[in-house]
Formats: sequence, structure tokens, C-alpha cells
Amino acid sequence: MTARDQMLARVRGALGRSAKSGVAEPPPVRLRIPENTLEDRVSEFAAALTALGGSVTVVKNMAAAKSAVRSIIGDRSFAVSSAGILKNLGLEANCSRGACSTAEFGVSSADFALADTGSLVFLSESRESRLISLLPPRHIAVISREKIVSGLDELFTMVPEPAAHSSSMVIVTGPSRTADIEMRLVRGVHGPGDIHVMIVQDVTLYPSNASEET
Amino acid sequence: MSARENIGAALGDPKLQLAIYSATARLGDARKQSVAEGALPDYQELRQYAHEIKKHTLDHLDFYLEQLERNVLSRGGQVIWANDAREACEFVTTLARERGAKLVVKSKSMTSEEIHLNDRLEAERIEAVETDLGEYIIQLAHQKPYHIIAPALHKTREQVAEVLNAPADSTPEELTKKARAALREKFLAAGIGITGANFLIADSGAIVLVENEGNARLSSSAPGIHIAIAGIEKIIPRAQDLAVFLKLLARSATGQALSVYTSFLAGPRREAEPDGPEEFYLVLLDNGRTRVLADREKRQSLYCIRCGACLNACPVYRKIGGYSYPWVYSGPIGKILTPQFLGIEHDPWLPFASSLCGACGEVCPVKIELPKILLELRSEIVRKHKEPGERRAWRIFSWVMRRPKTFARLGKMGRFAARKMPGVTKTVGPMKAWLSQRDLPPMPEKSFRELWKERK
Repeated sequence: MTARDQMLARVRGALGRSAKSGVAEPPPVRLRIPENTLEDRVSEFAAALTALGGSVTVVKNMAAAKSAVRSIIGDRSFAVSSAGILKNLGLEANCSRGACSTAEFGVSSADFALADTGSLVFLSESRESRLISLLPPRHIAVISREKIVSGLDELFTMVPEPAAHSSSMVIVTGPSRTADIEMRLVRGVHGPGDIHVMIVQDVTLYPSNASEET
Repeated sequence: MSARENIGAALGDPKLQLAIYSATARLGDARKQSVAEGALPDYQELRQYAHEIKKHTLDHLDFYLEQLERNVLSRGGQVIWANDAREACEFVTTLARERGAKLVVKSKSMTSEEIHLNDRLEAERIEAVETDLGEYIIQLAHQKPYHIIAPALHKTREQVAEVLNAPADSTPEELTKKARAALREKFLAAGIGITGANFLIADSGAIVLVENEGNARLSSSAPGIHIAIAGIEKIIPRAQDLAVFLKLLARSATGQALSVYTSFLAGPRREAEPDGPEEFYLVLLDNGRTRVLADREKRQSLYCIRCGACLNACPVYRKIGGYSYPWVYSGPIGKILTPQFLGIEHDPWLPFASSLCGACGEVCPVKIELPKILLELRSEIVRKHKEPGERRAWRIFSWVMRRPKTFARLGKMGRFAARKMPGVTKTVGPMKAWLSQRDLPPMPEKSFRELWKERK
């Protein structure tokens, strides 16, 4: 008998079940989505992330995002993911492991943002790498404001099965932190200690991008 | 050291007492605020729902285990079934040997503590580095975790500085920076990353990791091989159930609305993805869990999501600290898991080391009835270990209580003796330890019943 058979046999023995026993319906899924406007979500997101030590800028369009991102980075090093929205930043996409492990800034977009907790959600499909939001000490995310959903419940309504899209869905809620030494809060342990989110009000000014963002 | 010695050491160390007290108070207060009516109005409803989901899943565990296995395989991962600690460790060391991995990075996992994986890896000359800051510190100090979510809460910054070879006056920021730099090299060089799992998602074949530092993300993303080791009880049916569990877990643990990183990982990196591990293995561990499962009443012990809220609420944990418990799980949850996993003959005092105040049950986010389980374990232990002295004492007590005249006469004798020989109970007899810290109230001349009679 393999360990698998032994364990399943013990589980069934413990529960008084057999391999043929059926399964009752689990309790129904519990997802509650509050009604709020896009403006509410933007300000809720900004307040929540700021409270966690991140920062948020709302910009009108991609041209404004471009100059804002460039002024934050200055002449420091960066890695950039190949998310569609970032093409208009004029920064060359490179999110190789080498680039991520030496860059001062990781620049990415996000697939969703959660208003009530100030979280960013990354599905590592072909465009967002796992490491770009993880290895560099500073992280900049540029998102269209339509990406902001109310919270976890709405996220799991829109993405009921994350595994269908990607091997990895990560929800990032504020800068990396620890309180392991004398309960003192320290930011930036393994992941980025700085998170800057740039919310773009209107990305349609660049028609080449429109199809991807709507 | 024995449990008694550990308890004595904790009680006798004022610095440690302050550290435990303030850390647990802080975590406990943060929890309370985050689940208050204004912050999370449907908290009680969420707890009930989480309880019901866990109950449903464990009552049909064989079904969900098979579903999980199918889905992990379909996402390109492998599933390893491990009856016990030895089989789980055996798998890891064999794979490390086959792949020629000399360095393993690990992110905090109580399950890997439970199976003593680090010792096994060390015996095979494979370097295993704990990467959670607190775990890294205690690994360097050759200790075990003090608290489920704050493993190094007993260490002062000076002690941490010594362990990290840093100047004695280093700040927590400087110490953290130093550890980050050392660990970053390990992440990038490691052949294998090992994590636990906070949840296993049956319908997705996925694992979920919840953390604040980023070390679990790095352990599961940077090395070419990712191994997750999880107890079979960690399953929930659907990804959508996370909307409930994630809201409860971080709040109960630290008072955060969500932990910084929640990773939902399904199998190895896919073809179009830029990074992620090439191989993914999920080790499903029994190691005594099916024994707990077999007891219908106490099965709910397996609902635990390891938030640590019961530790912070427990007046006993807050005095005796994490090293006074005989196994890896401490606090109230440790008190109910240890006897069930290891057998009630193992440290039978454990379920009795409780005032039954009920605080643990009140804060449990999945509504495990901890006080009830403690009582059940107590009665099992008493049935098994017959204490002849105690039994006789209770028999005498019940004999006296049924005879009012004898009771009155004995009471009179007792009062007389206590007045004539004050302090005698302090030096001899079963009350000695109790009375070494307190005085008995002075004995009155007359009993209540005598006074009652006089006034009538």
C-alpha cells in the first residue's frame, strides 16, 4: 500500500466514509460587494495605502504619469515590466532576474487594486514578473483607475479562479514589513520598503493602448 | 530543561515578563480594534462562516484531498503523501540529493518545525536557512520559535545584535538591513525553496501563503524548485472562500486588514511567464492528524488557521511564555493539539495548566471551542491516570458534605486548630506552595450557621 492509500484509508476510517461516499454541498460562497463610485474607490485606496506607509499620486493622463515616474526615479537604476500601459513611459522594458536584483526601482502595473485595503494584485501572466515587485527596494506601480475594485470580495467575483490565469496571484498590501525585533515596525525587510502607486485617470489619450485598458 | 524549570525561568525573568506581556498586549489590542463593530461589522458572521467551511471540509476530507491532488497535477505540480515526519523529511532530502542542491531557503512554517526538517537537512549536510527575520534570529541562536507569529519576541535588540554579529547599539532598522543583505544572497543562490501553506485550495490545486516580509514570496519564486509542506487539515474547498478566511487571519494575528503579501500559487511557472520555479511539490502531511480527525467532538481542533490570537489572549501563556510548552505549538492551541497528536500520556499536566477563563475560545477566528476541548482532555486524562489520593479525598469530601452534623463538628475543630496554630499550613501539607505567596483570612470564632441560629 502506498502512503497515499494509507492516508486516505485512515482519513476515511476516521470519518466513517468510503471511497464511494458522496460529498454534500459546501456552504454557499459568501461574497458581498459594496456599492461605491469610482471616485470613492480612488480616495479609499489612497487613504488605505498611505496609512500603511505607501504613497499615491493621481495623474490626469499617461503624459503626466511619464514625467512623474521619471522625476521619482531620477538617474537611479530601474527594471520595467512589459505591461501594456507602461509602454508610454518611454522606459525600456526589462524584468529579467538580473535586472530586478540590481535595480533600485521596480516599475510595473497591476491587474487590480483593492480600495478598502490599499492593495495591489498581480497575476504573473506573460507581462508581470513575480520578482519585479519583490527584489528592488522601491516599487512604482502605474495603474489605470478602472483597475480599482472595492475589495477582496469583488476581486474574487471577477477572478473566481486565479489558477486559470496564472501560476501566481499576489496581493500586495503596503510595503514589506516586520516587527520581529522588540515589536518595532521596520519597513523593507525582504520586499520593497517603498511603494508608490500612480493612478492614471484617463489612459485613452493614447489610442494604441485603449483596447488593453478597457 | 523540564517544563517546570522553563516555567520557573520565565516567571523569574522580569525583562522577559515585560517582553511577553507587552508584545501580546500589543497584538491583542490590535486584533480587538480591527474586528470591532466599526472596523468589521460582519466579524461574527465571518467567524461562523469560517467555522462551517472548515467543518464541511474536514467532514469530507478524503473527497477534498483527492480533488486537490487532481488539480495540483493538472497544474504541473507533484503531490507527495507523507504518513509521518520521517517520510516528509525523507522526500525533501532525497530530492535535494538528486538535484544536487546544497542550499535550501525556508520561510516560516510551523509544520516544518513539527517534523524537525532542519535537523534532518543538517544531518545530510544541506544548508537550510530560515528567512523570516524572527526565525533567522532564533536559528542563529539555536532556539525554537517563542510564538506562532512572533518567533523571536523573547529577544532584546542587544541579544539580536549579538546573534547577528552587529554592534551592540544597533537599531532594529540597522539589524534588519544587515539580515536582509545576508539573506538576499541566500535567496539568489538557493536550489530549493521550502514553505508551509496557510491554505490549500482544493478546486484550484493551489497553495496560499500569507506573510509580511516577502521571504515566503522569495522562497517560492527565486529558487528553481519550490516545495510546500502542509498538514492535510489546511484545505478549503474554493478560491472564493479566501474572501472570508483572509479577512479573519491577518486581523486575528496582528490586527492588519490584510497581511502585506498573500500569494496564491498554482503549480510551477507556466510557459509564457517570465519567472517562477520550474518544479513544484506539495507534501501532504498526516503525522497524527487522522487520529485527531477520528474524534468527532475534538475534530474541530484541526480548524486552526495558526493566527496566534489565543496565545495573546491567554493569561497563562502571557506569564509562562512560549518555552514552557513541551511541543512546537504553544499557548491554548498547543494545549489541545499536543495531547491529541502525541497521546494524552505525553505531558498530562498540559490541559490542566489553564484557568478555563475562556478567552482563547472568544478570540478564535474559526470558533474552535478550546475550553470545552480542554475539559474533555482533562476528563480523559483523569479516567486514564487514576489518582488514588485525589479520589479518596473527594470521596471523604462527599461523605462529609452529606452529613450536616459531622460537617459542623469538623468545621469547629478546623477553626479551633487554625486559631491555635496559625501558620502551620504554611510549612507543611498540600497548601504549602499556595500559601507561600498568600495568607489565609483570619478564622472567625463562629460559623455562619451558628450566627444564623443566634439571630433567629
